[in-house]
Amino acid sequence: MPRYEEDRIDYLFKLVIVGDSGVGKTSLLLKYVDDVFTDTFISTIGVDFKIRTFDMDGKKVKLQIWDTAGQDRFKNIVSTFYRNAHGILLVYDVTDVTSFQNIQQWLKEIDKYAGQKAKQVLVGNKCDLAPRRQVSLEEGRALAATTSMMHIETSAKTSANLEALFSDLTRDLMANFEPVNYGLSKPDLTPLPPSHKVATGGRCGC
Amino acid sequence: MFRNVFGGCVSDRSARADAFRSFKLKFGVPINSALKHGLLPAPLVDILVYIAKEGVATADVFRRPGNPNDIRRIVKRLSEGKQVIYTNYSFYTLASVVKKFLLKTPGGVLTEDGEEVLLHVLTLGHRMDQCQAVNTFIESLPVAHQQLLALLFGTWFRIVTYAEINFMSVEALSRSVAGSMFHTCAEDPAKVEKASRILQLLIDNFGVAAMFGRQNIQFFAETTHTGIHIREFIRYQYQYPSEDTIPPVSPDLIEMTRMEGDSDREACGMYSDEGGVGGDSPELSPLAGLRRSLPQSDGGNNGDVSQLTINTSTLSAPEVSLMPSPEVSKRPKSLEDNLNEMKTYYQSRSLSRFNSVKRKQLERLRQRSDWFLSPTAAAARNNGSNGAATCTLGRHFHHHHHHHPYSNKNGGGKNGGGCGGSNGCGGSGGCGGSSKNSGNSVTKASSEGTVLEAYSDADSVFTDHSSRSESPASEPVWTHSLKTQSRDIIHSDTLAEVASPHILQPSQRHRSNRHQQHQHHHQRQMSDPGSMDAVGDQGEGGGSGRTPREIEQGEEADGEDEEEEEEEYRRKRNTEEEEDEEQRVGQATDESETEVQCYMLEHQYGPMEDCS
Repeated sequence: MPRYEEDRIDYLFKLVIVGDSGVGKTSLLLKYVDDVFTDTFISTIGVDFKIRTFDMDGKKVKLQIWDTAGQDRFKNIVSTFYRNAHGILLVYDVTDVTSFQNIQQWLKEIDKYAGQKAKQVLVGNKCDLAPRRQVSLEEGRALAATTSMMHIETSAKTSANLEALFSDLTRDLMANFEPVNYGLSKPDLTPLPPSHKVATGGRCGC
Repeated sequence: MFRNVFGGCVSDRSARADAFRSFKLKFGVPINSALKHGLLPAPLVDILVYIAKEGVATADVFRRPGNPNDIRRIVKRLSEGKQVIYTNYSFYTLASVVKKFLLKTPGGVLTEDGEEVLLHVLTLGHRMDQCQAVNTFIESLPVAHQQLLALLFGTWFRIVTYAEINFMSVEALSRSVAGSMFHTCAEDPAKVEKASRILQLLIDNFGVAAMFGRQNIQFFAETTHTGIHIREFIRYQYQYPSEDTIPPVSPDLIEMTRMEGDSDREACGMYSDEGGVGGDSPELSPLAGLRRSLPQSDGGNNGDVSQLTINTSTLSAPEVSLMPSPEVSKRPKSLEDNLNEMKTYYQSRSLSRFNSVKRKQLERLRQRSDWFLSPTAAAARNNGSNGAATCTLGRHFHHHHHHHPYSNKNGGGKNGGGCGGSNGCGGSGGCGGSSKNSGNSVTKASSEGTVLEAYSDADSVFTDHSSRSESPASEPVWTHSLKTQSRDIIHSDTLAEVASPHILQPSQRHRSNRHQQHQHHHQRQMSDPGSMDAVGDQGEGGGSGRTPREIEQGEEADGEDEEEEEEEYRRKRNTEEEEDEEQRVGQATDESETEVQCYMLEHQYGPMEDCS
């Protein structure tokens, strides 16, 4: 029975992290899921994913987070992963203005491949490196505003805003997507919680 | 085994000016037409040289993408044969241009067949088989193609050498470029992983002559005017215990010393040679013991021979021309032209700064001397000399040399430092015995009243030492050389302490690190095959004698400008080179070092004939 409970999830979201090489996509993911941070930098090849399950507002949420290669060369591999994503994290490095400029390129990629409903979040990583900052918080916000994205600055190193990033996004997704339907695979489960909100107009994923 | 390769000869400035030759770099043409007429595309060479020289410490270089607009612009201009001022762009952008070239080349720069061959190399179990297979592949390519690969892998090798600064470990780098290099693998992550593994092998072993070929390595050093430190990994050394397994081509690693910084004053030729030292003195320490075992297991030309590299003094332009350089005709024309310009430029500049350098050096010498005579010196010395041996322990030890304040000081400093450094290099090359030797020889020499004649420094630096001849025993009995005015003194009492094998301070490790970092700094290193037997003693004597100096230097010069230090060093050596030129007997050895060595030997074993 308890095991059964553990397995039961209310929401399953697929998130994809994209951004230039070296902005800290893998670091973000590792820190968030495994709570580890290393200074060793190894490029991701292709895609890799990690899963984290947690409770959010009384619901069990499972995040399947795909970490992608930032290398141009692997854009083809990566592009196929946008399609079923519920949320897309566009990561730039606040100490590297080029990575911020390249967000535009990534947005184009996403427009091309990702579904319309996918929620986008602009993430400025490495905000712990204040002295080397090249992209201000305002610039980030301004860019996010142009495409109605959420914007947040994080640090994989210090964990700053990391939980906030994923919990905000999760809340947003919960408001926009249906819960997992157990009707087919697990018919004996308890009915869906009555309190869940179904796509309440508001800020739809765009 | 080590081998020193030394390359580069051209003033950076003129090279760069020359980089603006119009020469198209075509993107998207097969590699054989990109290299048609056996010529490397000049812009590509220029970019790689620029990255190899100045961009290696850039964090995440070759990993981060550059500015896409700039990349487009550069690609466009290069395709049209227009000039591009590379210094206006970030290294990320330039690296991206290189990657773009690799990516756009149909079939890739390795070609489809080549990729297959290389991927097959991974299935070979034995490291030497792998080396051989790669070598066969590389040798099968046209010369220009080989040179292109040498430039690429040489640059990458230099980058991973600085992994501690730029975070580009060999794995990170090979993953970053795998997609561009191995076109057949780019679509499948598992294959990319494989490609990345073979790239790691290639980058890691760039300096292995048996793999890339000596000529290609020389080409890289020559073209980029840089040197790189290549050292044997312990893993590698233990893996091949007997010399039979070493392929006949050349079991040696090539050690190239980095010469960078203000390259407009760089003048050097390409020298390579090897020297060996028979070091079979008893162990100094467990560390020394460990190291000691390396040369034997590593099995170079002679299982018992440890390599020792000797500092060479500045190689001046005439020597450059003496050096047989098979690639000369293929090198960009500018390089050749610049050889001549360089010399004049070089001489005038080096002389102009000579006096200030000299003053500085003298002052430092005095401080060192004071420090040396203080009671703590012995311990430090001991650490230093033992420390030399620890060098072999890890490749990563060496990676921070240029950025470590101490190391820089040391390296940039005196020629005396150079002696120590060369000894250290020998140690790092698996010459554990030399550290031991050093203690002995120094003791002996000192007890006989030997003065370590820092001959290389002699005329240029140590000119007013009379004040420091405190003991009669330190009066030089120099007969061999014409110049006797300068000397460095080692007192027998301190030496006795130093030489005592029992003094092992806990700080030894630390010291050794510093020591070894220091070695990296030596711009001109070479081994001297003609004085195999002498090298050990000399290197040791020199090394020990100078260790405190280096240390002191490191400590006192903490805040100083690295570049300047290095520049001084180079200038000094150049100047002295010029002055000493007539003493040269046409061989590319470090005159001064040899003399020290001869001197030492003379004291221990009687006069030597073949010193200069």
